[in-house]
Amino acid sequence: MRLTTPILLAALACLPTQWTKDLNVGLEGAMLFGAFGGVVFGLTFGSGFAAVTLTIVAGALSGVVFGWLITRLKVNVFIAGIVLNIFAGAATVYLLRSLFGVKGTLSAPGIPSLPTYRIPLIDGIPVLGPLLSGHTVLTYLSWAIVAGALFAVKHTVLVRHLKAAGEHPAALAAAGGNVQRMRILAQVWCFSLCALAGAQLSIGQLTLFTEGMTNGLGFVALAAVIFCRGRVLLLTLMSVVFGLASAVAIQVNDSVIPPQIAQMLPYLIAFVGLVVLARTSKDGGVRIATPTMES
Amino acid sequence: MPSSGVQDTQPVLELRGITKIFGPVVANKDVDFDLKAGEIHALVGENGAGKTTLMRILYGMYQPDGGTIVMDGRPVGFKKPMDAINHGIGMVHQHFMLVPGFTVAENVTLGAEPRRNGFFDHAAANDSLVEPMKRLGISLDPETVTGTLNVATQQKLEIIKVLYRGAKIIILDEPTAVLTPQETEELFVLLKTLANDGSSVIFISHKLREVFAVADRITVLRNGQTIQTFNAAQTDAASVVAAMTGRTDVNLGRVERTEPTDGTVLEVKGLETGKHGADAALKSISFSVRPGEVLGIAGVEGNGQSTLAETLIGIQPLDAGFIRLRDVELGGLNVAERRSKGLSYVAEDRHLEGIPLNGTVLEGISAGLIRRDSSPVGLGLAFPRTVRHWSTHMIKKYSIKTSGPGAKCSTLSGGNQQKIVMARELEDKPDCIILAQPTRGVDLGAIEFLYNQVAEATAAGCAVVLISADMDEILRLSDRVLVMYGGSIVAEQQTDATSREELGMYMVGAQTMKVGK
Repeated sequence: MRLTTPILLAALACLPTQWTKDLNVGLEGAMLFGAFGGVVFGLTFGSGFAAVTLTIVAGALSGVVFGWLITRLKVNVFIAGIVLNIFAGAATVYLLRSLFGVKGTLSAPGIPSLPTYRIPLIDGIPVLGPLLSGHTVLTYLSWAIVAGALFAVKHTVLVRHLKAAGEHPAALAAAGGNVQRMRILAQVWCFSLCALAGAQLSIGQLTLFTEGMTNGLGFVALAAVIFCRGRVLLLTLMSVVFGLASAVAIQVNDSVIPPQIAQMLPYLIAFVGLVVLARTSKDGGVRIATPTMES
Repeated sequence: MPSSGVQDTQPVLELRGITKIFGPVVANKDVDFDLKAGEIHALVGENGAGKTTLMRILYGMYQPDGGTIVMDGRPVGFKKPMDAINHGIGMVHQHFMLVPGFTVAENVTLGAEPRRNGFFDHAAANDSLVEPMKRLGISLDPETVTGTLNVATQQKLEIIKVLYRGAKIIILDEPTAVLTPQETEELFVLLKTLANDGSSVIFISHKLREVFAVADRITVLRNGQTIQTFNAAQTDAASVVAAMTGRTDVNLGRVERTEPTDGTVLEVKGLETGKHGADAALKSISFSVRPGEVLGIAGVEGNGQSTLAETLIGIQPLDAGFIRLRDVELGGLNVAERRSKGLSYVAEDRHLEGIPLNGTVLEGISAGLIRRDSSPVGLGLAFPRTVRHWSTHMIKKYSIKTSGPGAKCSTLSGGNQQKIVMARELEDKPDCIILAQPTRGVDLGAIEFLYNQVAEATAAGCAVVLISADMDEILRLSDRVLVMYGGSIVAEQQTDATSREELGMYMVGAQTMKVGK
């Protein structure tokens, strides 16, 4: 369950960017910054709460910048995402050395860790107890976001505008909506939640920061997002499956399968899933008439 | 027949001296236009005459460089479409502004969603459709996914959307381009209903038959200027054409051609293909074309015509059947080999496949010559003096308006671009030429010129397959018509023995005739 949370948060982060057709492939990088931010803010202020809050704020600001880059400055979102991934890997290493003089792993007693909470009744149940109870506030938050997202898809104007901005931006603009605002908003959301996903890794599950500690989780989340084509419930399910696969990869005994192969598991599942998707997806299902040419 | 709702009072809308300049191009120059309550006012003109620019200014998408918009006697300024919408102006765009994955209700209410406690109110959204649908006399399920609706219904949805926003002035930009003749008639009934209710309609078109069928008044734009406003009842097509083109001798009727001779140039039998993209797959297509004959292929877009054109020239593979050109089997050959055997092709999308948009006129026009360059491994000059002379000659022969062979194709008008394509393809002296939508986005004068070139080619024995969504084109140029529906040929008629209405019935699949095998 613990490994599910960062994947789920990152996948939920990415979801609106898929709606606006600005799929952010920089989840990995954004998470890494989030993880780093969690540790740095935690060390500075000594409080887990402050660390999480400030990481979100920093994430949101980055989202504004990123959104501005891809809308106003017309940077290709795919390239920007790739750059973000590479940049995050290098920048965190550099900052780790210049700020803390540490190579590899930053571990200090001053790093706060997020408290875990037990749910009174469920805690006692044999299997469900450890599964559902005893998590950090971020895990519970991720579940709340799933519920919120399900509700929002059905009942909010905002999600409709986000989807319209992706599916047919000219239609939204002609109806008086603001396409650019929606696209930036999706990125703000994406970066904020990625920051949370990262913080969950560095100060939720552990109390340290390691270079490249996201270890491909962002890409697994990205695969889940692409696989689910914008559907929240399926996305949640896929995130859990990938989370479990990751957990299996860690816990499986060396004597059963070599650990290297076990670690391939989540990616293998993601790969198979994407192939299945490609085989089953039908194109041209729905379309709007667009007469070609003219003026 | 003009609608009866026109009130002879102060206009609800006036555009006074509108000017709009894009860089070196004056799109609108001192344009005047007025609209009365309950009126259908057609705005006509050739491509590039400034119709769309003018309407975009009215809809707040562009800011005018000069002139004023007056509504109900008061000057107004629209900074964005929302301002125009708030003043009761609605626009049905040529490219529908509908989100394919949304339901009907979601699309209609987009941008002005009914809310309850800040959230989307499903019930109110569904209810909001009732009133406009009643006005138009149509009924749609608000929960239907929009992308599954057919084109004509999507267009009606656009009109519902405009009415939902409370529009009193409705602009329709080339609304019939995507419709069959029957659907066009239905649309006209709808528009007249609206006008009788007191709404005003601006109908942008370049199809005069339609303009006369629906409009009360007709304003003609040419080269960005208002030429004249006619009362539809007191004028005729010839005067409007003269105003549009600046010429009085434009032939809008049938093109004069020589009779086809006996024999078979192109023979197609049992053609089957898979599905590629949005167009239908071909199902046992068989036909033949005689020397000097123009075979028209009519149909609503998406019924396999594009697939047919691309299969004939060899861009798409065929699964079964054969294509024979003068007894040479073409089925297994690639595009270049088919061309060498005497097949020519004018592609549907001029900008993508017809000409090098960023290349020069010389490159565009001499591509056929370059292909046949026989020098070892293509090391010879691409444009030797002979080719350059030839292209200069062609520019004269086809009266292509350009600064010279070195000009960029993208600087030419649609008609002149198409002349480049036609010159290249016809000067190959092909046995058979496939014309896919040859005059789309081409103005009237250039259309006439291109038709005469085709007529000349047929006189020399060239067989022509004319694939067109434009019924007028088929009726003016072809000897025989095939109608395609759902990837099959559903009707075959001699052009002089059929009518627009009859073909229309076949086009929508309402009727099928047994086509001789």
